[in-house]
Amino acid sequence: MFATVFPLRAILFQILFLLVAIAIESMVLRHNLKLSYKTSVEYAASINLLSASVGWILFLGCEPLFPEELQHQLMSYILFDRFFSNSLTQNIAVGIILSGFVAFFITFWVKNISLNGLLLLLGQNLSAASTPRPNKRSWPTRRSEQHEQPTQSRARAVLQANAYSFSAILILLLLRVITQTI
Amino acid sequence: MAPFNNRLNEFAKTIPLLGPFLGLIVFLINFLKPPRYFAWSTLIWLSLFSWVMAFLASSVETAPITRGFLSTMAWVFLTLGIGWWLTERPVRILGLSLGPWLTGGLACAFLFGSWNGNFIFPPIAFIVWPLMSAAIAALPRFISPTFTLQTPAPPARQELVILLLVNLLFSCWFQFHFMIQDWLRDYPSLLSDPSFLRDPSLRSGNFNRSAFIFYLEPEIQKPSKGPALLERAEDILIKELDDLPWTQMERWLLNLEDKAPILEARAMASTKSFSEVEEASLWDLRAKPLSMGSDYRLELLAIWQGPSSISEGYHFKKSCSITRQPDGKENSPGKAQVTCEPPSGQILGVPDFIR
Repeated sequence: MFATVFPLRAILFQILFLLVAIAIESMVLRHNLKLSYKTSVEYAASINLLSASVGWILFLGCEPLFPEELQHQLMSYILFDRFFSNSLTQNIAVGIILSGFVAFFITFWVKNISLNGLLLLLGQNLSAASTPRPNKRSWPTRRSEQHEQPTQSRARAVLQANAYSFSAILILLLLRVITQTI
Repeated sequence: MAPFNNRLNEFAKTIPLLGPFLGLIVFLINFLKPPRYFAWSTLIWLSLFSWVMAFLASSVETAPITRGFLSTMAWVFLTLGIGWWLTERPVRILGLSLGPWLTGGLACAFLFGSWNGNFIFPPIAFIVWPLMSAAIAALPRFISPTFTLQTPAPPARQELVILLLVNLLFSCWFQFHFMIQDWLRDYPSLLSDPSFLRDPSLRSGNFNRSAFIFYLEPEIQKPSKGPALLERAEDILIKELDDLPWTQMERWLLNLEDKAPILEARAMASTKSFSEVEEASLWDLRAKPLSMGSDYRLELLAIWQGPSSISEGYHFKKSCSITRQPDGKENSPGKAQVTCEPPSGQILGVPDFIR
């Protein structure tokens, strides 16, 4: 019943990445949206957990639909941490970079929607102005609104948080590659 | 209960070893005795009762539906009883109460498990388990004190959201595990990769560097499919070439280049275990003839072209020698006889002539 190959390392890595991402994003959200410490951690935890689950569901759902060579490469990477020579080998680097970009933007989109959804669920008003951004300009501006829409400021905060957490995860992955080749 | 206890104690004193044993039984009975009718221990007793009835029914050979019903009721009562008990006395680990997990696990085991000598749980049981535990844990929030449905208050919703999402993530992890198991079932040769060997001396430097998995060694190291393929090829070879006149055999060897794909297809088709898995397309069967004086030697190679931890790939080899046999005719070169050695172990690298 319990098999010989167990994805424990993947689970541990994911827990590590989630903790790092939640910590970083809660700091960014707290700074940008002027939330309390507890609330920002809860929001960051919710959107990160949801985006991780959505990512898993997409992966698990799409994997049977991949072409066979792609599945073989996937198996090779997951089980042996390398890519083997196959018809797709030349496209590996391009594929990885492309999937990195796609993952970033899809994650941002999911996080944004889930933050708005979470606020709705908690019964908070989405278009209520959070504390206005401090007016740094000394002269009056042409724009009629001194502070931007709360939706936009939320989206910007989520984008920034996402960028920071992705960078942190990239750094961790690079560290792993470096320590392995030593 | 008190006079019963006293009498039991007096009786226990008379037999030395019986004392603690009876004391244990009395303790258990006191523990499980329901203080009132509407309590969790009632359900446990009901479950025990149903189980005993089911046991009696199976020995008396009643209709299966009675037995099934009774054992179902036993299971349901057990689940509800334990769930209730854990709600009254939450067992907490790291701030998370253990109750819903256990109850959810029991419910999933009941719904999806089966008994066939020992318990068998299909993958769906594990995948549904965290979701069911989340539902069970969330249930109290949805039921108001007057036992009607209600939507939970906003402050409690945040907790519910995180609870649900964490269990969703657990469910995804279980599903990933079963996806890997499906891969290993469809491509069994992946398990015989050298990086999985526990003994470092056999690994020759190939350590398992995967970022995803741990490998727990099975009791029996699974053999690769390569040698099986070579055995089939040997059988086909013997059937084709044995007792064939020598010149015909030489002509057969000359046409080997054309025959190789047919040989491979027939070898794979006749290997029973190959038709059941998908990895057949990743094995390549080649034959290389060599001349040794007046006789020939044929080397059969099974080359693995799929994922492995070795960058050069690996293959299996079987050497067959074709010798002359006198066939009783005058002036004839004789007939062929094929003898093969057992297949080799894993050989790293791929022979040059393949590239």
